[in-house]
Amino acid sequence: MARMKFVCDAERCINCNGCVTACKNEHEVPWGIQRRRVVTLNEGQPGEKSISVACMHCSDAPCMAVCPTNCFYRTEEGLVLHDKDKCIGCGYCFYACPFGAPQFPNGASAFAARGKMDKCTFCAGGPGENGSEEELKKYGRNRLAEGKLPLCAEMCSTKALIAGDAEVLSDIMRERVLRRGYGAELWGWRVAYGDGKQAQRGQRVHAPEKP
Amino acid sequence: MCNRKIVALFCGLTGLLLTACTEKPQTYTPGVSTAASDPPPYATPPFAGNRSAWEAAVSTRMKGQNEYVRVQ
Repeated sequence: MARMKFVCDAERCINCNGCVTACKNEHEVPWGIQRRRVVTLNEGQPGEKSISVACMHCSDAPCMAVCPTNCFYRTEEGLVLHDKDKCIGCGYCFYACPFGAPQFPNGASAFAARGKMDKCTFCAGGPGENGSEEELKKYGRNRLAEGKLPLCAEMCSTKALIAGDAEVLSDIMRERVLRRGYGAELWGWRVAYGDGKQAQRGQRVHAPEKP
Repeated sequence: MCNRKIVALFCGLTGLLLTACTEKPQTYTPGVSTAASDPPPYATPPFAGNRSAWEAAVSTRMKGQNEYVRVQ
């Protein structure tokens, strides 16, 4: 279990914002910070797509690279987390992140959030004792230490958003695409999903219906 | 003779180019960051250091996200 990741299936996301609400509630995230948000592309047009975006826990994270205090660290599970006691709230990580994941609190919540950058923790808390009151206040709940996955993914009603080990997620996505009957022709299929047995056979369980 | 040199040069350049396709090591290197120590998720109860039990619990939830397996 080396690389924990999120994957959002744009074919399934219905823009319900259940993941956003679950995250806000679970971690008691103050006003002004969005650890997760749903982005809709071509909104209002036929075929619009939505995806849920948060920290992607990059393998080569730019936030880690630019942090002047080196307060970011990577866990054994591949999660990119940061120490709020070392963070100076400069916001460099916000500018470096292509997903806008690290957020700086504004308005009245700035002092409540201690003027530190805040980001998705993959429900893994942060430095300090797992499940402690201090960890809850600073980083939110540590569900991973309870043997659970991030609540945003577990609450997703259509299972558009899934979380876990990259290999397991790849297997799930591969099976979905093969059952849908389309998507395997996408560029990068073999890079992302390898030459699995299903892919080698070119198996398509449900062929796309022709109009 | 000239052809051999060209082939050797081509092989060398191809090998050099292909090095870019290798995956960057993603090993956990503690001590680089200034962050305080973060105990692994299985360190505290309910798993109390039992890594395999924690991995089994998380793995069950991960695989449970695949409704094709769960329903059939």
